[in-house]
Amino acid sequence: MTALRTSTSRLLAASSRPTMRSAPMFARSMATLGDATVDANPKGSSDSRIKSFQVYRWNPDTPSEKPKMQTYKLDLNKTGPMVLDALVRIKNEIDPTLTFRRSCREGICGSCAMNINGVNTLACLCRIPTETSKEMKIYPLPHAYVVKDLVPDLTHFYKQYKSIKPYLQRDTPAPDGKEYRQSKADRRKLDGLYECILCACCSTACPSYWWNAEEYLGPAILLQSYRWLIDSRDEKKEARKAALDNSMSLYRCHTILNCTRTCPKGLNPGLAIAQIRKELAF
Amino acid sequence: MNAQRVGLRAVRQGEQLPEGPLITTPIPPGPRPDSDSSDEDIERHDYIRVEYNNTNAKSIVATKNSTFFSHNLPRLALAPNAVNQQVRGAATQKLSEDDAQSLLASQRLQRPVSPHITTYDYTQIWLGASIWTRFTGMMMTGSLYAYSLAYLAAPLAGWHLESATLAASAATLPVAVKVVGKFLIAWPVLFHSFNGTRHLVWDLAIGYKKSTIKKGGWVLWAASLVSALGLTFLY
Amino acid sequence: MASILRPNLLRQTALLGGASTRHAAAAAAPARAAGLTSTLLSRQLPVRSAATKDAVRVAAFHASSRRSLLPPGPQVIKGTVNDPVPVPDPSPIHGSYHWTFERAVALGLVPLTLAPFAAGSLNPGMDAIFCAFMLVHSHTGLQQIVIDYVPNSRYPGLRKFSMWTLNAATVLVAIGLYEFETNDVGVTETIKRVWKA
Repeated sequence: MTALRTSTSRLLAASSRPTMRSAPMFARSMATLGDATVDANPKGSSDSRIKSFQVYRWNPDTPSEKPKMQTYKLDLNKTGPMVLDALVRIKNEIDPTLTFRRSCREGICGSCAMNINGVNTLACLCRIPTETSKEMKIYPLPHAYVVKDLVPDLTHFYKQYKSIKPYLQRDTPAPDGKEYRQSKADRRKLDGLYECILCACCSTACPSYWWNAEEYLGPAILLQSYRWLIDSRDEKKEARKAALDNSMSLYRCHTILNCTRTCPKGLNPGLAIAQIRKELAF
Repeated sequence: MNAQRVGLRAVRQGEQLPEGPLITTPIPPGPRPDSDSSDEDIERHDYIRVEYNNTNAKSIVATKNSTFFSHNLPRLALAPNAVNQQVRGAATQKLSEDDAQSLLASQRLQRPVSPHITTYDYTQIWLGASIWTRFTGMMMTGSLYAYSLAYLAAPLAGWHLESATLAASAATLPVAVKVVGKFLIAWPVLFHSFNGTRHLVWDLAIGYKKSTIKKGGWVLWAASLVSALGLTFLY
Repeated sequence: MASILRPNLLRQTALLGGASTRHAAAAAAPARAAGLTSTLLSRQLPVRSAATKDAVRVAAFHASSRRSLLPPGPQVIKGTVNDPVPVPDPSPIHGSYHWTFERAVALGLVPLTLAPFAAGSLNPGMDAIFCAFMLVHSHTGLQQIVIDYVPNSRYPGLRKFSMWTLNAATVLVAIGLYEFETNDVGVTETIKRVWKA
């Protein structure tokens, strides 16, 4: 009850100033076509914090037109805290043609991966910087083929994922005939690896992957590869290693470490790759 | 297939509308996609027909009272700018698997590549230790190769590139040029050596914490510049 | 045919009014030609549609392929979405052995680089070893650069050419260094003398 009360009082306090909830429902649900640069907020409200968002646009229906940056302005007081909130609000209230992927809004699906202010991250986990003087720049994941606006084509990425056989491979049946058991220590080895959601932030942050995506697997897929390589239940370790033992698949990694710096889940693809190379070398 | 049927049903409702809000393209004669014919029998027509009509939305509200639109009525009535409401009637046509694939392939050919080095965080791209290790390595390798090849060709070309000549000509340079030259030699060597050592440590899977990586980058720049200045002036 | 697939191209060419036939043909060609159409369009048509004006009002994004490194070309996906990419045959000579060899050379260079600072310069034997390590390190480094920036899948001919040029250059450099080491005072001593000059 106390918990309820505190949250209620917080809500009441919040409702005293304008929040995102105050946007009229009908305007949000019915999309309207807007001008190229639209201010969704009535000017004149004294304490509005207007921030500009520059968004990459490209429409496959007019393929001859070059990609362009389009500016939208939002009042941060009426927008949720995350970049995805801003994008959703732009789509709902200013420009319904803005296209992006989103699903879970809590960093578990990896759909809303994009390049925000120069760094790849998930829009749903990225806070909007509160200073309004600086513009925000939102691009699709770098060096990817653009399907539309902020939607990159990840077909090749998924095909590469499939090529590492991301599943348990073993021939011997379980000793008790029921399940493949694992010691706690062995299970702990998978921590920091199994959490990967394949959002492709790290792979598309990697210059090596930019230049050689065709043959180099990239940090995300290599992290996944390592996840199966060190799984104590897997019995195809040697085959997995042999599949990586060529000049392109693994060894295009030059430890640039953009991958580790960008991972929105706080994982460490760079370290995983180093571990694979260690396993292959010694 | 189900979704498609729903879409077609919507269009057929659209066809019953009075003229104005929806422009429907007549579906060519031939087997209807939702008839009992198998998929192979269906001929391919245009891949999609979508018509927009933004201007006559009011006439929907005024003239049409079908069940299809009725749930939109309250919203339409309340929305302040109903004139701009977008109404979209879509008729879809079934494609064979091969046609769909070739269509997708042709669309792929048109896609642009999203911006990368121009937009990615410049501290990671242009101040990244990795790329500067490559640059400095290229500088040193370039000079090693150039000097060795020149030395090999020297007797034929009549050049004098012996160490004694080099030292003598270096001694004649003004001090400012000497200092700048020394720095330009010392810095790449030191940067490459420092970061090379860092890479060797990384290869042991040590030092991958995010904060370590970030700090290490700045320390590397500072250390290489300071020690290059030191080598320039103290030796 | 393409105009059927992309009615918008037709819409663009329709803007041209009377002079449309030539451009309609261009619009029917693939994307590159369509790009041409739009430039022709902007040059020849003083009054443009509202849609075009809107497009101009937002800043054009400068992502021209002129500036891009290693332009990747149009997207082509081999096989269907569900086929994995082919896994290359294992070749440790170009994979793990090569990597270990590179690291061993780099590791060996650490003491060889530090020693002259302690001893002033290296004796001829050590100096020769230092040169050999430097040369191998340089060669493998340049190899990596060629592999990275001249992808075999896209430029097989250029790749072969660069690799053989590199090999030839390295052999010549090796001969040059041998001459230098046998006729002159050695690399470390030379650097020392020039530095102190």
